[in-house]
Amino acid sequence: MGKNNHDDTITDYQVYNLLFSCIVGIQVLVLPREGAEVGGIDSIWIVFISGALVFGLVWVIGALMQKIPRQNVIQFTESVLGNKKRRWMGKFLALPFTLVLGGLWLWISSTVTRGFAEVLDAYVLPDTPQLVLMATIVAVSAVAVSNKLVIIARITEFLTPFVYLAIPLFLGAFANGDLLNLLPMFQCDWKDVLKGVLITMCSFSGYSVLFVYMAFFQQPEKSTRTHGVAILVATLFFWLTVVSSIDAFGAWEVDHLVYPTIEDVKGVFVPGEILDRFDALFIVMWMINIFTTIIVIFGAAVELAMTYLQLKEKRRIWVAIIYGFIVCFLAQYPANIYKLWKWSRWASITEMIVILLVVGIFFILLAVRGRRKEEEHASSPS
Amino acid sequence: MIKRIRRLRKRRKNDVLQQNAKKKQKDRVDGVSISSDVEANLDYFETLLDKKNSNDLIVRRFTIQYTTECKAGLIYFDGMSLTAGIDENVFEPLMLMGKTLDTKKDLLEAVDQSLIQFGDVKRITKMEDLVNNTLGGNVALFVDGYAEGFIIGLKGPHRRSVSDPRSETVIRGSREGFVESMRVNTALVRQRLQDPDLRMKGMTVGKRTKTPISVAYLDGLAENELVEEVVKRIEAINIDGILESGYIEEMIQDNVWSIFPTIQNTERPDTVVAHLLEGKVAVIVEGTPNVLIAPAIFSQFYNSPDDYYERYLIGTFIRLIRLLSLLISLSLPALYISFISFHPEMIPPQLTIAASAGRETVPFPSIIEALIMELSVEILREASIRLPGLLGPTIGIVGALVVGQAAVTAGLVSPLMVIIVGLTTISSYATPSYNAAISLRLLRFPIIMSAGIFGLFGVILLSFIILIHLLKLRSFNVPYMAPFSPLRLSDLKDSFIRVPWQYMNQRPVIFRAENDKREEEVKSGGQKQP
Repeated sequence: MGKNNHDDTITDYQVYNLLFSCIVGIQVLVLPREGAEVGGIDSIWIVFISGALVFGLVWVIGALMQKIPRQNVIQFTESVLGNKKRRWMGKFLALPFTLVLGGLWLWISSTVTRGFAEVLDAYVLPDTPQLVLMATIVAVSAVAVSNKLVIIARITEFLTPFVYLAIPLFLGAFANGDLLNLLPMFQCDWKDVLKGVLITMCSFSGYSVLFVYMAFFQQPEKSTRTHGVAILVATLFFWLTVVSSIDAFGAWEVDHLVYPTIEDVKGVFVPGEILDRFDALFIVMWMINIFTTIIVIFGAAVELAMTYLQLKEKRRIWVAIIYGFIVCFLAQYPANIYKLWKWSRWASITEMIVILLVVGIFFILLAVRGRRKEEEHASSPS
Repeated sequence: MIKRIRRLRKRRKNDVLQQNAKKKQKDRVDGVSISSDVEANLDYFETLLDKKNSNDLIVRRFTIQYTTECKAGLIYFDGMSLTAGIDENVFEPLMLMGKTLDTKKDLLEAVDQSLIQFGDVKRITKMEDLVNNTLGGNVALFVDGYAEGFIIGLKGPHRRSVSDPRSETVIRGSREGFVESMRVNTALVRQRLQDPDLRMKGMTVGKRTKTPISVAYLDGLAENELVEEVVKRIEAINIDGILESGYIEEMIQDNVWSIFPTIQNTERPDTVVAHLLEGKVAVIVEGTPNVLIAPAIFSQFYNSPDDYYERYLIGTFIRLIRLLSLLISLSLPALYISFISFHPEMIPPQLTIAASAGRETVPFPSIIEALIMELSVEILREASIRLPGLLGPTIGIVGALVVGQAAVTAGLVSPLMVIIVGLTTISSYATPSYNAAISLRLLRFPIIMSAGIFGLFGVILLSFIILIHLLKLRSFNVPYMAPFSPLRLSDLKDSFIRVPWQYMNQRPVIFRAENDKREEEVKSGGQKQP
């Protein structure tokens, strides 16, 4: 039966959902505290600067990937650095990229998994061992990532709209707060602003998966606008949580809360008393989003291994299971929640460095390929 | 070692026996031509069908009166063919009217064109075709001196008449449902769809049952590749017997292991026509009133013909109610367990207190209580279907009331649990499609168990896994969760809502109909109010 090619590619709307659900995950729960810690009330506008800078990083990834349509970074490396006679050379030189990017994504997946398990432990299932929770999260994620990336894109497409259900809760919490808590603004010096920007930028993690996902985009050449919209909406979402939390508690108190967003939602009152407390419900709603974050990043790592090892589709489940064990192992590494936050921040900083390095190297490779083609063209008899 | 050798010998012997049986069956009819000697043909039939042990086989030897007398033989199965029709349209003209004909035609031509007074007559040269047609209820005729036979389509109408579709009742809409006769069913479709492009491709499936099948589609509207794929999958079926369309459904669906149906079945001709107009394919099978429709998507299973026959607002409201019922039937007991056992702080204190008071005497944890109740309801439901006639519903109601009340009084279950299970059961009946409803009923059990282990987290976990499965499913290359994922905005017009017909000019994009517009412009026919 004739296959519809469009069904095996990722549509613009799916691109938006992928990027949005990859960025907006566990960090929403801690971002107000991290922002307030350095920038105080000024974190309200600092988050926009971070959003703009993150868009810059996403833009450079997009610019690179648009030059190599229908290929991910590994396929491109192998095609440029190897040739028909020395295919192993391309394979060998692609190995560092596979290890660095794959390792990075497994690391980020592990921090999200652990962070999620910490939240569940604190609010929903206090008696269940954390290892059980993490193993369950990873097992379910492995089921999801044992499918092609197009299916992962569909999962995010279907589930992302549910994330917007949290907006009324944030607005309700905002209405309960005190507007005076949002004043006075512009008290930070430029050093604190820079630090605040860097810290809030760390909340936007995972977007480097575009190195893999863009190979499946239906219209990679038109993806910049969609990326922009996704980053903008994610930034607005982050901004809403920051404003709502500071409005409810004030910057000083937010700085001292472990999960200010959850505490913020806890105070929401529903007329008619249908539900008494909203924190557990909010976490349950948020679970969906955290799952999508994990599977988007975890799925990219699995796809990278599949591409590099050129495995058949039926082997994907085994890659997912092996990686699942690695994620579970890495997630146990931080000894406590404070170390987890540091671990998570370092993962995000590493991601930014890796993006800049990879993009830089690949633009050089593109130039080399361009020159080689020119030489071949000049030497060929016309 | 000896055991192994014996096992191998036994297996080899079985293989040889099976091969011989297949060869015997093939040799009996394959490649045999009709003889010009009528006796030889009749003897062949009598031997093949073992006349002594087949008391319904009628073999009649008689003489045709034409310019000269000629021996002839007629074969049919008693009860499967129209006896009155045979007497009137075959015996009478052949035995009495031949001499009165003023013609010099060859006997065979005269029998074909002038004597047999019936429309559906075919001349056959292969014995295999003749045997198959006779087994299907037609009448076989041999004339001495000619190596050809006739098949006369005098199949007996021993089927029940067209009546209400029992499993798909509607408030407004046609009261006609499909019956067991494929021909009646194709007629019911053709009466509603008087389009010269309507095609009914005939096929036969089942080595022994030789069940006739019609693949219905609208030429120039249904995607050619879809039609070819349906036909190809049916042709690939290798089985001895097809007794119901369920056999075909199971053997041509995309995912055998899925709990969700990826092919719809219906008893309603209007539903079939509506789907044919969307570019789908219907498979009508002899012997069953259930017609298959492919491809099928998830949203199709909670749609009912009523939605289209009522005004769009009412249709939309009913559809939303059905969707809510679907969610209730799937998750209400699990949510109850989660709230009571894991998150009592989420529900108002009064409700928590009331629930705890009700559970005071219950000796089981809420998950066991829910499982016992759900199982009891399933047993009751199954029993009420199997009980004869009017007894079924009565026993169902009495059983539910008496057992439920007694269980609460005895302190075995809490009153709240009875309410929850009752609501869940009622909701599960709101899903119009039986096979979709039963899938959800089955899934309720793992969700209950998951809720019993992890609370709301467990419910979300399992729902997530189910969703992944649904998003992965395809029906004849159409994504099962379309138009929600992949999102097709234009197709949302007929999904969880239904917009007025004027705005549904475009056929659903996901089914890739060759012609995606219903008409240039669907007009309402009504006048706008000044």
